[in-house]
Amino acid sequence: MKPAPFEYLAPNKLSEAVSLLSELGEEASIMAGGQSLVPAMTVRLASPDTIIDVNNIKELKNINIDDQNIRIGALVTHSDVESSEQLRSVLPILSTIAKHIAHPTIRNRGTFGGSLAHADPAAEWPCVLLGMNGSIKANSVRGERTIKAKDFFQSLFSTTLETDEILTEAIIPLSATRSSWVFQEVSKQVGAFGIVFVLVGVLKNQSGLVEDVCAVLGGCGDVPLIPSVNQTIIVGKIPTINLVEQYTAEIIRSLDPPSDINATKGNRIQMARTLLMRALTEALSL
Amino acid sequence: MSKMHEITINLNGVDRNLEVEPRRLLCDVLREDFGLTGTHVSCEIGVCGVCTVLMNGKTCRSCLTFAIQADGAEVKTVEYMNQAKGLNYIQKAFHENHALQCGYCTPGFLIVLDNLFTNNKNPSDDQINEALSDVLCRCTGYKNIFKAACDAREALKQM
Repeated sequence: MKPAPFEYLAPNKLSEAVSLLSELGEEASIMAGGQSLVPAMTVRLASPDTIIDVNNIKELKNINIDDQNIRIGALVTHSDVESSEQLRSVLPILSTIAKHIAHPTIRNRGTFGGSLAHADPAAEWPCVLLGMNGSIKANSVRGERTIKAKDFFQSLFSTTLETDEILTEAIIPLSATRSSWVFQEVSKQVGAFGIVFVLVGVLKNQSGLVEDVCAVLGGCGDVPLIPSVNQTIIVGKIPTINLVEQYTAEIIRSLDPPSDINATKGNRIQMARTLLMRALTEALSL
Repeated sequence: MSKMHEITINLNGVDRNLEVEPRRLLCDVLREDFGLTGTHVSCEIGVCGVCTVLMNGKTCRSCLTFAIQADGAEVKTVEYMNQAKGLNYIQKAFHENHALQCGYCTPGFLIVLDNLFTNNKNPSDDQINEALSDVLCRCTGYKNIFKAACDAREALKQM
């Protein structure tokens, strides 16, 4: 099949893009890298009347690090994240994770902001933003607002972005750079969608006590999950394999992952357990 | 039918003009409007990689790009590889290693390897494999394609 007819607009300024979107509303789609939108249009899962291509808006392509935050423009591609020395110097895990996203050619065009706004449950960046306590910036003719990642991802392919808003920036607080991060993923082959993936961040103090621990799971629900479990199993203690096992068991007990064509619920639980154990032991240097 | 747009693509080194409907995919425009049928089309949803071309020096799935987005861009297809007649060093390595059977996926492999060798004169085996992971081959298996890529790497050192 081929995409249905549509009108094409490619504004140079964000102000123009938000006015167009406000005027056209739900009939229009924003296009960033197009690596999910174009195939959806080809198989006619999506047939917007108008495409607003935002690729000419240069200000959305920047990576900036100020004294509090890492700011990743919505049009920064996965390849840009993978190769950015600036990001690698503060948060090298981002480059490692970028390599798990599809194939190099898709990473050349797929964007950080597009991935967040699309909110595919198999996408890695939503997990990262949630785990690192990040937020997104959204612009519309009504102004600009910041939405916490925990309030952003609603369900399958659905976010709290309003129909007149454009996601313009992802914000990761610099405090995230203090933790040791480990990412683990199971996929059928290199480049395929992740079936289950986990991101673990650990902060230890100088005497080796765990100050903070965070585990985010992808592929175990409609949105990335941070299971609410008793943190004191591991926080405030000198970590041991035994404590990691207890902590992992608590997380596993809280999960209710879906069964689908890629894996059954039981498979997913097994994968989550193994990946969590690996990620936690590596992050805690056990 | 939606509004037509005038676009200019620098295609294999030559500026080409065309009026296109926005819905037209780059792969279809290359094949149907410019007659460059070296770019193949298979899955049309970005999975198989046989339609890969170079856009502004980066590999790009031409089935996941609207032709209108290539306005003002430099696009290279597999046809630019043997403009000087005969096979280039990557094509020669494919020929010598029996790295193709039906040949449908070959243009995709040639483009990703050309791009790899342009950016890295001596890629590691892992880097070659990562590049090859971009394209699906359903008949040879990847062994001979990998061997051809390694031969091309050696040939490049002699150049």
